[in-house]
Amino acid sequence: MNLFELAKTHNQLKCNQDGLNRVTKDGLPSRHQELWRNSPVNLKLNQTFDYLSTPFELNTYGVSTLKKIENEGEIEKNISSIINSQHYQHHFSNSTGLALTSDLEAYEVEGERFITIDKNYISNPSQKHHVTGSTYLFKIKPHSRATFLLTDHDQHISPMTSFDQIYLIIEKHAQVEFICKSQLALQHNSFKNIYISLAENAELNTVLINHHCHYQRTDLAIELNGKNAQAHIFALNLCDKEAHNDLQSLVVHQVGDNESHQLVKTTAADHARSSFTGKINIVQDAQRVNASQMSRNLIVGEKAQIQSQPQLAIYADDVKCAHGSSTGRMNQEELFYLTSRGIEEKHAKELLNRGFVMDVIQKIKHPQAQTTILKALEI
Amino acid sequence: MLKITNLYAKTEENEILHGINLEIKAGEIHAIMGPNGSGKSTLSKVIAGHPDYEITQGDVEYEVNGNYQNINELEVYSRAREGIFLGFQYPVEIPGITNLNFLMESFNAVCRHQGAEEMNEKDFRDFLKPKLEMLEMNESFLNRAINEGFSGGEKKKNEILQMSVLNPRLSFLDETDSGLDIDALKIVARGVNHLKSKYNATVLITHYQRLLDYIKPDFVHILYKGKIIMSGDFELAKKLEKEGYDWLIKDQK
Repeated sequence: MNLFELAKTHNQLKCNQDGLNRVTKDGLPSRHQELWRNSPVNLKLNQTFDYLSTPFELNTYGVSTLKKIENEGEIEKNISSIINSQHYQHHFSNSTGLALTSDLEAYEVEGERFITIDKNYISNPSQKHHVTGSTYLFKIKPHSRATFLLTDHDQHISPMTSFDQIYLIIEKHAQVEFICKSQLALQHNSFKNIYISLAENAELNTVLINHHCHYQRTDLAIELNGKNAQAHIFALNLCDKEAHNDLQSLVVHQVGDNESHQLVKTTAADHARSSFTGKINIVQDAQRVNASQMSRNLIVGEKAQIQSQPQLAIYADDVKCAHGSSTGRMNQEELFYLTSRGIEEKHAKELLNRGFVMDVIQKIKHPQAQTTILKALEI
Repeated sequence: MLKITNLYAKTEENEILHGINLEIKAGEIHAIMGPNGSGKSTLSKVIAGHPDYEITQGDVEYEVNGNYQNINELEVYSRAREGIFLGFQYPVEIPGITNLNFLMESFNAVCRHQGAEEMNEKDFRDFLKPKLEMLEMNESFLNRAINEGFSGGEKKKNEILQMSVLNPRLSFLDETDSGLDIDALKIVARGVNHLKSKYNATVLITHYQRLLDYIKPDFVHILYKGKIIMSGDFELAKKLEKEGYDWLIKDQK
């Protein structure tokens, strides 16, 4: 059975077939290909694999208290408006992100909520390759305040590929903190599609943390559809060994008078590779937008590679849009500063490494979520 | 405390210091003045041990436990632990490490080295309180990342805060007055004066006489093209303020 056949069975919405066709045709990516940075997919997945709908233990908190959206028509309306968006299609059609839609769960979030979803992948060593996925849609009602903490980790032995899709629709005056941490084994290929829309006066603080993983592809699309909306996006990629991490972000300012700020930090050790492609699109007439994108990268291993590609597409003329990127080894001036205060060099390096990571972790506002992440990363 | 003899130093391929002689004793305040590019900052970085600078000739000897020791034998962190402090002209911003964590790490590192008792966070915060008040710094500075988002004045105050925490024997303050408005300058000067004692020495590196109105130096040296071309007392600084460097430089040509 190939992925396409699988999806026909499991895809409820039938709206992701383009992406699916692409995967079926091109397969999963290999880190050995020349164009690895843009993650074209070339390793065909026509080998035997097993589709398991729940090869993981799911621990949730707060989800059961939410109102489930049962009406398929309503779900389809929400999803199709996203998927039919021109920017979204363009962004995701280049990835395999839309590949597999498993059972979709949709919820309305109202009031003040803390929602956690933790996936612990478990696989059966007798099976060759597991493929799994999940799709969540959360609609955050006006004036609500919600924190989402999505984590996944695994203890499996056989190779696995997971596709996850998360849609957040943030309505007027709602405030959302979205934290997503993947800490997966090196046999795991993980594809994550995250789409977030913000209405007028909505606020988003998102922190993405990727750790290890054989291949981690995250496609993040954020659309600011209302005035005074604010999106703060932080990402931390910690790659070592043979890990291959690829983060593609797209921020679209559909109207003016709003702001988005991105900070992406990556460390690559050993043979790890990491790439970040970040696009900011400010459409015509979206005036007085304030956008920024920074990427800071630290190469630790001799053979590690990091690539960062900022892409700005600005069609409005009265906007602020800053971008910057730096990739290198440990900053010698910072090291000198610390050692000139009596801190031994080895310890100063440890402090700087920790500081590099903490810079992103500190952006998590929800105290419990921050503690959970610190514990998981053993910082 | 510090003896500099015929010091030559270079960065990459550029020789910047060309034979400096200077002796600094406990209880003294020295001012090193000079036009841009004369080597003032280089001198302070050489003393602190910046890895980009290399001593090519001459000696810098620093008194440790009553004995003069060649400074090259001391690692950067050891120099700090032995009481050498460099107030940076451009303090670096280090995201992710809080000011409190940094100050405590350095303070306890120096304590350990000197055989003094280390402090826990609570005691350390109490220890910092009067220092913060003297520098008119809000306690919230402690929870912010090192220098991140600080204004020019705040960064310089933070340097003096570090100086007051480490209580060094020999401080080089590199252009501590640059980027300061008059109020901040007075606060910084108050901090430096407060730390002055007969056991320590301070070297002020500055372009202008302005700082010297608030911190009175015992000696003023003029550095030009990597050499001290004239030394004097506070009167020399006043003369420079009036007449500029031209008359001195002309003599050199």
